[in-house]
Amino acid sequence: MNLKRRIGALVLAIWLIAAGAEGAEPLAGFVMVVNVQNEISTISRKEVELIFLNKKRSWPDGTKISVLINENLTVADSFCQTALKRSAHQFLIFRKKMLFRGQGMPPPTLNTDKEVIAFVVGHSGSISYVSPEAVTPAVKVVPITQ
Amino acid sequence: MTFSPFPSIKAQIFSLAFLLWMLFPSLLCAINLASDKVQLHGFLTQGYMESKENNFLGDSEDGTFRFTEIGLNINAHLTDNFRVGGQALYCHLPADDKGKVRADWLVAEYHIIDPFGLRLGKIKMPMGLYNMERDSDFLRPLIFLPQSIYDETRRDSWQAHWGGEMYGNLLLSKWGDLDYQLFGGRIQYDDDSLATLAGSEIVNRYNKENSLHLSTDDLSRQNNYVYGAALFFNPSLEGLRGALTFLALDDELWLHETLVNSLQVRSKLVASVEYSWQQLSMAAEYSETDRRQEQFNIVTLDGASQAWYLLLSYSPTETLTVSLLYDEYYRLKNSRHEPAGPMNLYPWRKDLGVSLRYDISESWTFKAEWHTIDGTAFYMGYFNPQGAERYWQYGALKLSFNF
Repeated sequence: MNLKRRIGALVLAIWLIAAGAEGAEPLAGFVMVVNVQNEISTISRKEVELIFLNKKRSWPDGTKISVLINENLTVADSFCQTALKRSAHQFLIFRKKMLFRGQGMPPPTLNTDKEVIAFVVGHSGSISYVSPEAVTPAVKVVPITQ
Repeated sequence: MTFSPFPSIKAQIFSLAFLLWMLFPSLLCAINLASDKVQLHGFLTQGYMESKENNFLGDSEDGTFRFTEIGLNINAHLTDNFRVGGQALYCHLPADDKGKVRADWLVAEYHIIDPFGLRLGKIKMPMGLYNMERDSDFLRPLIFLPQSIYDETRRDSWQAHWGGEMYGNLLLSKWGDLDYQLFGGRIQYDDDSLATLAGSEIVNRYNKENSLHLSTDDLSRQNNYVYGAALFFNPSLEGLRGALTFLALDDELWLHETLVNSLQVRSKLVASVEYSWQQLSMAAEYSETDRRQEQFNIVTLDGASQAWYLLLSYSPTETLTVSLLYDEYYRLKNSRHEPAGPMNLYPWRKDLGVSLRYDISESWTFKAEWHTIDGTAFYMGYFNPQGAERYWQYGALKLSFNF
């Protein structure tokens, strides 16, 4: 096998291992919450990523998705690293790129779990993330599947 | 050309107004437009640039503060799927006599389904990884993007087009997802765009060769068409992104009824890859531009240019990044070192650059960089009418605010 093929095989192997290893990562430090009227019971990590990167904009029943950014730092870091596979800073840069390129409007932001839960209660298509201890019966928790 | 190193009065007033707004954020809160229906955002950047041995983009050898960009945009969701928005941009760059305001983008977007949406209006053109964010300094890794692909002299030319675009996101199962854009329309050139002004060099040379005295005051540039496509691949491997972009266009430069220059870009292809791993990141792009150019009905260029760069970055903290750039461009891929006329004896550009980016806060960014260049490609004859030196350097500092 020549050097080029060895390097190609190595890159492919690393990629496959990395793709397969995704399922083993823990999801902790936050929970996804939606409005209680939402029919979904679970959500995949890829769906969360697509929703928060503005690439998936409607629920299976056709309702428009309303994304809300929770800027509570302890929750935001955990959410971005685990669900979006990027840092909170990188996610901020992504939102700015979308805005200043003219490709979309970034989601609104709130600073506390309490404000986020109040928003989710009042908006039927909404989705956000809060710390597990902040959850109330007024919102629906949807576990992330891989 | 005559240049003043300082921003115009208009720029200073615009900057002062913006600064006051920044310093009194309560005004922003009062407007309270950061909702999911209507949003108002903006930015202000002020830079300083200095070069050695050659002028670059203007009279830069003595240093210049004529490096200001101010943008203000508004977006509104009129329905769940229909968005309208626009951004006004004030730009005062070293090559400009005075600053000017233009519509940077002006978009009506109808998002039909996730894999398919439409945009109409003045739309940013995808080209490589970074073309769409060239007007917003704080979004780019460098002050000056690699010039082999993001030639600053064509920034106001290849930035946006009036027309339409189809876009969408396609899921590729466990392999990741693909963003695509297909676009077509026309580019609107201002009479004082750099690409138009630099046409005076062609007329002056023609005058000299034919003992004529044609004026260069009324040059106008028009675009007959531009179309292209972009694919951005987001694989499941964390930190990796790939892109393939293509565009073609047809331009003409007129002096009254005389066709001075025609440029047909048959294809501009850019292949890109970007990878981040922990504190390290790497971006590399390769491009070929196949084009044909006629000046006063004589073919002066017919063939492909070649460009590539490698950018390596290290971020010891999330807000501090140092980068090393190596960037190469050849005017003709198959004839790399053939002079392009008496004003351009070295039609290539090899750039070794170092840069620093510091995100002071979510809203403030500071950047500094220095480049050492071999070659005089990209209108260096226009900026240096007495003849450009082969080896030269330039550097810049820039402070940006955005909200």
